[in-house]
Order: sequence, then structure tokens, then C-alpha cells
Amino acid sequence: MAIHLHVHSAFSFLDGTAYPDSIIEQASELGYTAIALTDHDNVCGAVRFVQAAKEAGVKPILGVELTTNCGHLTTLAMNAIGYENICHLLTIAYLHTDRRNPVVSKEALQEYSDGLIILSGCQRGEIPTLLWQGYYQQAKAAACWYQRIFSDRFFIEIQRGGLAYESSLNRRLSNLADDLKIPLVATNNVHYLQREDFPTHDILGCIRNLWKVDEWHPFRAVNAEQYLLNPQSFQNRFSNYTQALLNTDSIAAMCDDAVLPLKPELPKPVVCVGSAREYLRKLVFEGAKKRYGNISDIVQSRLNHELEIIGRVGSEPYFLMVWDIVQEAKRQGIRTSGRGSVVDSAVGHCLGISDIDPIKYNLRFERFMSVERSQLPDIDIDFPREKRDRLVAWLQDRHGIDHVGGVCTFSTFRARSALREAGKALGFPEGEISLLAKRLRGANADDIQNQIARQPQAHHQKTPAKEYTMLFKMCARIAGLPRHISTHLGGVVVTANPLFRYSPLMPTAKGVVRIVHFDKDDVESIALKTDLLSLPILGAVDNPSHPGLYDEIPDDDPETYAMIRAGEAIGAFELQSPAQRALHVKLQSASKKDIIDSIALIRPGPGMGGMVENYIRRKLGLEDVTYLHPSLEESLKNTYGIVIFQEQVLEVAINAANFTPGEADLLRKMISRVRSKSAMQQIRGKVIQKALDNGLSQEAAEHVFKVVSSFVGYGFAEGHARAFGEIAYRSSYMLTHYPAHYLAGLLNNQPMGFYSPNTLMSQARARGITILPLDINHSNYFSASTDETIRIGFRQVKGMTEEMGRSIHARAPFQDLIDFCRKCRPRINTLYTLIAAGAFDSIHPHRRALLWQAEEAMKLARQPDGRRLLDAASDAPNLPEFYETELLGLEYGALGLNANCHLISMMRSRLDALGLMTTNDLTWMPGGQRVRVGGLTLCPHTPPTKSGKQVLFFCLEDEFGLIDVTCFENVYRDSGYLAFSEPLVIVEGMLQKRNLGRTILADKVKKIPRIVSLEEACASLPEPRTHSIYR
Amino acid sequence: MGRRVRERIEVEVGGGKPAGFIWHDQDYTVADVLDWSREAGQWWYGGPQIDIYKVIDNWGRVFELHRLSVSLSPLANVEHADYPYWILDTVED
Repeated sequence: MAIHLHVHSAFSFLDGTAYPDSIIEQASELGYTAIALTDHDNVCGAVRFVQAAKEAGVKPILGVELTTNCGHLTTLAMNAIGYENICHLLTIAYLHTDRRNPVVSKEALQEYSDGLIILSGCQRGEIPTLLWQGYYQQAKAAACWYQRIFSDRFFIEIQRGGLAYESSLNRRLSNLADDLKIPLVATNNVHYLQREDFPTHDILGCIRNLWKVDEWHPFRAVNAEQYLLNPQSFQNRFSNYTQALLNTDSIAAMCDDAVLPLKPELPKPVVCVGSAREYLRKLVFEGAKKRYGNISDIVQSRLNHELEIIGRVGSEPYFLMVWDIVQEAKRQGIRTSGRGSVVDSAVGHCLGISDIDPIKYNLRFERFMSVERSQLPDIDIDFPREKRDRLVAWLQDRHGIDHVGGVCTFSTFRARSALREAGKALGFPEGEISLLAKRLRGANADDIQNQIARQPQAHHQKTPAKEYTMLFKMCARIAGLPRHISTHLGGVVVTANPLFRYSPLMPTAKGVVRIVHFDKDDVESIALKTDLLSLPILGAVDNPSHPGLYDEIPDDDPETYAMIRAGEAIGAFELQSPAQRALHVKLQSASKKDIIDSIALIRPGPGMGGMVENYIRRKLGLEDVTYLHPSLEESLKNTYGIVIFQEQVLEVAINAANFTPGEADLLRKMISRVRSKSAMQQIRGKVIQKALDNGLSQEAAEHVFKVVSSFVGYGFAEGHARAFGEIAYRSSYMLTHYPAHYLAGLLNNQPMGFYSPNTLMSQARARGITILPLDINHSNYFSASTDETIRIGFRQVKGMTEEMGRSIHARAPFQDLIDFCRKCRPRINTLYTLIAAGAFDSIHPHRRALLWQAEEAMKLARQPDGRRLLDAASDAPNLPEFYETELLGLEYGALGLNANCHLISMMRSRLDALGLMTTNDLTWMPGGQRVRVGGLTLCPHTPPTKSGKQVLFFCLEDEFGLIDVTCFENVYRDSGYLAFSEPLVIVEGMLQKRNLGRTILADKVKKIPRIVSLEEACASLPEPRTHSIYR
Repeated sequence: MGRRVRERIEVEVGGGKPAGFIWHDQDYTVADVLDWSREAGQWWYGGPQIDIYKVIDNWGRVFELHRLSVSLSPLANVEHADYPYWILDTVED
């Protein structure tokens, strides 16, 4: 039987429509016993291709379609050496040519030729191209080269895809093969599974090459023949080339089954004394002494239990490697924080990976590792953003650059990207599509029509069926397909052998770590992943004015809790969202436990399950505490009988349905990954049966399943909530007692958190802090703080590089614009932005005049008498300064904030004329009154609700502060949607008050006009003069 | 050079290829198919797929016949009554 040896999957990125597992499924259904995967210049699909093939009993042949300096080349791995050589060749190409368009040289191909089978390639291959151009002798010479290097592992590839020139080309290829006694091989250059998939492939090609569908191009596919032919059609198509068909089978037979072992490789311990097992044990018990003082029986037994499981899985070298990273971070003074399930490990706690004591809080180790779950552990650690890359670089030095790789991620088409890109290819006006895409939030590309109907901010834009149906259909077809490869936020793998044995390594745009071709799921088959994540708050709390403060924060500070329960925690880590602030007002929070529980409560799982209201009522004693099953009292009593942590879900499964801890964790994983209704039904049957067997009633058993299934995919592990809760408390303490330093820290670590820099600075002003504007002579790169002031830094300026910002500070003071231009040589756009931001106000308080002079000043700065020339010219224009509102608009456009006052304060007289109230007025008003308030809209969102109805939440901000606004579904659909598109609105509705919390229950949202933008302001300037004196 | 005809015709098919056709009430017997290619057509407008056959008849005259079949467009109506049908596209001089 013929075998397909030239097959592209969706990982050919915009040149294939099927994922590798679908290819295997189809090949298996068609009766193929083997099939190859040959994506363009990558092996991104290799792991899932091999896994699916093993399950289906199909022999996987790994390969790649290389781009060489002479053309495309189909390359197959005969064995593990061949696969390794493919990875080597690609690594060299990625590192030494263009990382977006890697090119393999023929010299490299010669050097890494072992274990490779070469097919001459498609019509863009070297030999077909030469033959097509009529250069027979050159084609022959090229074929001889391949024959000399690869001997009987070189084949001339012929394809029959119904193209006009093909018969002629195939005759020439056949003649050449006869001439040199090179065997022919037949391929169909598969790019999709079925003919009907052609439009999908075609539109992807148009997206890739920026073509419109109406445009023709020599490289654009003209027909739908490159699909996975069934064996009969394959045979019929090559009926004149029977030997070429037979050769496909011979090639498949030449290839080994297991070229990719799919066995995770552990790092080599670099600091190990004795065996890894002994050394880890020693470190753990040394750490335990520091953590606990005397090691009690409970601690001893827990550590032994954990070490036993770690040993059974054989992951000691992994723990040692992570310990080594944490030690280095401490040595460099980099703050770290363990997150996720590692917090459940006492070994992790003793090694310093996490500061939370899992024994004290009774956290289950099985949530992190278990014998039942064959999967190896995965440790997540947070670092400050600015320092994370430094640590990764150290890790590369420590283990060797070829042993450390970043994990990749695949950007896939979702609604917005699909609309924008498919819309462009189909010829839709870009503005129209862009607006629709912008308004559509959180939608999948195959659900656009439903979401437009559901999201009023989108359905208010017309999408006539005649024009849009094709676009929506094509979006649905490309939904979820990978568009390009990018870098995972934190995933890093370290292996004892060089990584290029398993994957090519490619540089990233940032260039810190080279990434492997596998994403977070696939990479688990070759190595253990560690997530070294950026958590900006860890940078924000390290203020140079108060080093070490964060580590000395006292527990249970009453003023901190008072601030939190007053709903004023804007800027505090994890506690600042409107939902969190409202929750703490209702809960009257007064302990760390309240903070930790709230972090787990404000999640989609508990939210959808309606658990938040129950929790509040039970905590306040307004509702009896009851339990799903008597055996759950112990594990749920601390949360008033409400399941809020993932561990508690496991407890429910263990106690109410008699699962073992490992089985319960498997159940959690299964439910979170289930994608079909029938699979969920199977799990449901199992859970309910086990609960019934455990003596529960049918109703209680159903309830157990409901709790487990509605919650499990979206909840936090308790350990994770505790780790975040600790940071949340400490950041709240800093906000309460050191607001200037803390808020400056937030500013210096943007983007982060829930609120914009402008809102943070408004909050600072409300706390009595003076915000000092950006000043060319006084600002530093970072915003600086004293106890009472924050000076805006150059980092805040849009488009400012760190190098430029630091250089300005180093070269200050400046006498005037010319002096600045002469010393700093800024780019013109940077200069415009600095002027717009008011950075020169202290030396020249007329921004319009400076903007007018900027370009000339740049030119004159290069001349020795430039200042005199500019002075002579400066009286020429008699420009009026911008209005104050315009100045604020310019500053906001350049910095994303206003230092001295709020934009709304400039509109106050207009808003007063409209009879609008301020947020300050609402402070003294009693609840239940009708109000009309104007302000900026912040953070509009529609979280999932228990009823399934859409409720819109957003904040309205004016010069006095924030007020939370709620719009129920009818108001959201009628006018509330404006919060998504209008920066300034008027909200009418009912004021609601509870304790110190305030909300407007809106019944109408209206537009108010906007303020001038930087572009509009610049457009109003006259052209710079080109007077002869300037020459 | 060829003369563009673009007329709908009846074609007799044998072994998946055109074996003969009638044009203006006159029978033409296909002696050989010289070349075949296939085009997906303008699927985004609902355009049909086209099989292009270059054939030679018993008298040595060369014709280009087009077989039009249902569009690959995701919006195409697969029950479209007309498809497939044939067109005599070109008669070569």
C-alpha cells in the first residue's frame, strides 16, 4: 500500500488545516499503516503526532519540509539520529538566519546527513525549479549532489495535483531519475484532510501572504487536490508511476518506529553531593530545622511521605534544580514566591520554594503529586518582572545553553484575530472589521454570530447577512488553528542531554532564552517544565527608599483591615477589583483568612455556583452552616460548609464519593479537560454511582457531582490562594501605611493590576500625596517617591526606551530645548511626546511654541550657533498656548495619566451645567436616592453569573474618586454597552449603600463628548517655518 | 491561438474522461485527452470548480472542454440542480 510521505499539519502555520491527531485519525480510518508529518521548518506537531499514532496503531514517520538556500526539501527521519539531525539543522537555521524564515544551507545538510531520507520536494524544490526553467544539466548536477551525500536515501519526488504544467514536469523528473538511476517516489503534498477544506487552506494562504482572495499569485494553490487521498485514489492518480508508489512503502519500512522517545528527561544535578536522593533528603531536613525548629513526628512523617513519593517518581534532580534556582535568586536579592500546587508540598516549603507551611494549614500533598497520577510534578515560581530574565540567563549559564529552553505557545485564531485577518483577505474595509473585532469580547471564532447577538456593544454595529455570512463561516473554519509560534510566559525546561536531541531551539524576539518547538502540554513528554513567572507586584513592593520593609510587615494590622473593608483597596494585589472590594465591604473583613477565602471566592467556579452569597450569609450568621455529607464537616468547617478551594473539591470526592486522593485528583484533571457532553456523562455516572455506594441519597449524589463539576475547572488551590493572600495582605499594608512608595512602585511596574496609572494617581491624590509632574531636569527613569510625593519618571512616557530615559537623567540639567537636543539627541517623536507630557514646562512654559520649534531645534542642535539661531527665530510665530483642557489631553496622551489634576475637573463646569453629581456628593447621600453622575468608564466586564443572565459591572471615575456601577441585563442591552466604547459617560440610577460600600444600580447610560487628542492638537499646529535664517 | 466559444454542450464520458461531445448538432469523438488540470474556481463568490480537458478529435482538431461542478464555497448549495455541466471553452486553430 502507498504511504503519504509529504504531509503538512496546521503546524505549518497558515499552510495546513488539520491538527496532527486529526491526520492520524483520518489516516487510520482510510486504512493506512504509516504516515509522515513534514511541516514547514518545524517539528511543533511531533509529540502529539507520535502520541496519536501510537494510540491508533499507525506508524509515525517524523520529518520536515526544510527551506534550503536552493528551495524546499522533504526530509524524513529514519531513526533517532536522523530526528536529532533535523533538530540540529533547524537550530542552526533559526540561530544563524532569519528566525521567522530559517534557511538551511546545503553545507549544513551535508554535515548532518546521517539518518535522513531526502525527497526532492514540491515544485518549489531545487530540482523541480531547475527542470521547469529548462536547466536540465544544473538539475542533474543538483541531483548528483544529493545522490552523493545521501546515496540510496535520496528519491526524486513526483506529485500529481491536477496542475496545468504538471505532466510536463513529471516527464522531466522521470527522465532525470532514469538518467541517474535514482528511484522515484509519489507524494500528494497534503495540506488538508478533504477537498472541502480547500477554502480554509486558501484563506490561510491569503492571510500568510497578505493577499486578497481576488488576487492571483504564482504560489497560490489553484485547486483542491492536496488532500489526504484514500489508498485507491492515491493508486489511481499515480497509475503511470507504480514503482513510485511502491517506493513510498519501502521508505516507510526504512524508518524506525520510535525516533522520539516521549520520555521526560530530568536535569543533571549540578550541586549534588552523593546521590540526588540523599542530597535532597539532607537539604529538606536542614530546611525543616530552619522552618520548624524541632522536627515533630508529624513533620517527620509528612516529609518522609513526600520524599517517598518524589523518590518513586524519580524527580529528585528536578527538585534540586528548582532549589538551586531559588538559592540563586536569594543570593541575587531577587524576591520569589511559590505559587500553584507546589505550595501543598512540605518538601517545597523546607527547600524555600514556598513560604506557606502546608502542614500548618493541612494542605494535601496529593494535589501536587500522587502515585496514582503518573504525571511528574510541575513547579511554578513567581519573580519580579524586571529580574526574571536575569535568572533565566543565569540558569542557561549554570546548565549550559543547549540544556535550557523556553516553552513555546501557539497563538491560535480567536474571534478578534479571525475577523481581522479573514476579513482583510476577503476584502472587507479594515476600519469596519476592526471596530467589530474591538467590540467583541472573549469570543471564539466559531461563535461570532451568537456572540454578536449576545453582546450589545457588538450587535449595534450592522453586519448584514449578505456580506458577512461568508466571513463568519470562514472565521469558524479557522477557529483554533495555530497562527504563529510565540514564547510561553514562564515555562522553562532543563535537561541533562542537549535539548536539540528532542527539539530545535529557536531565538525569541526578546532573545533571552531559546524556545523549544513544544508547548506546555507537549513539552511534558520530553522534560519537566518549571514555570518561572513574572509577577510585577513582587517588583512593586521592593521600594529602594524602604528596603526590606515588605519582609517586616506585622501580621493582623487593624488599619490595613479597616482600609480593605472600607472598599478602598484600589491598587492592592488581588483585592482591588470591584467584586473584591464589594465582597470585603459585605464580609467586614478583619483577618488574613478573609483575604485568602475572598481570593478563592471571586473566581468563575464559585461565582457560577452561587457560592459567594451563601458564604457571606453564613459568615455573618444569617444562614445555618450545613454540610453536603457529615464526613465533610472537618474539611469544610473553616469555610462555613462552602466549597471554595480545589482541595475541598477533592475532599468532597474522597469523603462523599469514596475516591482515593489520587483518583480524586485524576477526576479533577479529567473534568477540567473534558470537551464533550458524552465524556462528561460518563464521569457523572461514575461519581454518582460511587456516592450512592457510599450511602448517599440520589439527590445528595447528584449534588456532589454538581459541586465537583461546576467548580473544579475554575477554582484556586488553597495553597495558591494562601500564597497570593499573603502578598495581598502585605501589599494592602503598604498601601495603607506607605501609599506614596507603594503607588510609585505600581507605576514603575506597569502594565499590571486592574486600574490605569491615571486612576492610581487619582487615588494617590485622594490620599493626600502630591504628584510632581514629569520634569526634564528632575525626573529619573523610574517614578520616585518620598513619604508625601511621587515624581513621575520617564518610564511613564509612551515610546520611551530605558536607555533614553536613563540617559536624560544622566545628562540633566538642561538649559533649554536646544541644550536638551544637543546632549540627548532624541528622536523627533520622543521629543514631541516629552513636550506634550509637559516635561519642559519648568524651563519653557509654552508647549505649543515648543512643539512648533521641536523639529528645527533638532536640526539646529547640530550647529555651534544653534541657540542664537533659534532665539532669533522664536519670536516669529505668535502662537496662542493650548487651552488647559487641551494640555491635560496632551499630557494624558503622552503619559497615560495627569499629574496635577483629573481630566474631569476641567469639565466640571460643563457637568455642573448638566446637573450632574460628583462621586464625592454620593458619600454623604443616603442610599436609595436617584443619582446622575458623569465620569470616565473603567474596566467594564460581564462575569459569569449563577442565573446565566448578563450583568455589566464597571467603575465611573471623576476627580474625587470611583463609584462602582451595575447594569442588569435590560439596561446593559439598552444603553449600558456604551461603557465598552465611550470613555466618558453619564450614569443615571439608584444609589445603593451597604456599610461603607457604594454602588449605582444604573437604569440609563449616556454619552458625553470627548476631549482633544494629541494627534488632533498637533494637527492644529501651523507648519514649522523654513525661514532663511535657519539655513 | 484558439477561438473562444464558451458554449454549453453535452459530453459523453468514458473512464472518467470525455469520450465525445455534441456541438451544434454535430458529433465529435475524442481520440485522446492531451492534458487535464483542475481549478478550484472563485469559491468566495460561490464560483464552481472547473476541470479543464484539452482533447483532440478524430480529425486532429484540438478543443478545450470545461467541466463545471459544485462550488467549494462553505455557502454553496450542494443540491444545485445545474452542476455538473460542460462548456466548450476554446477551439484551437
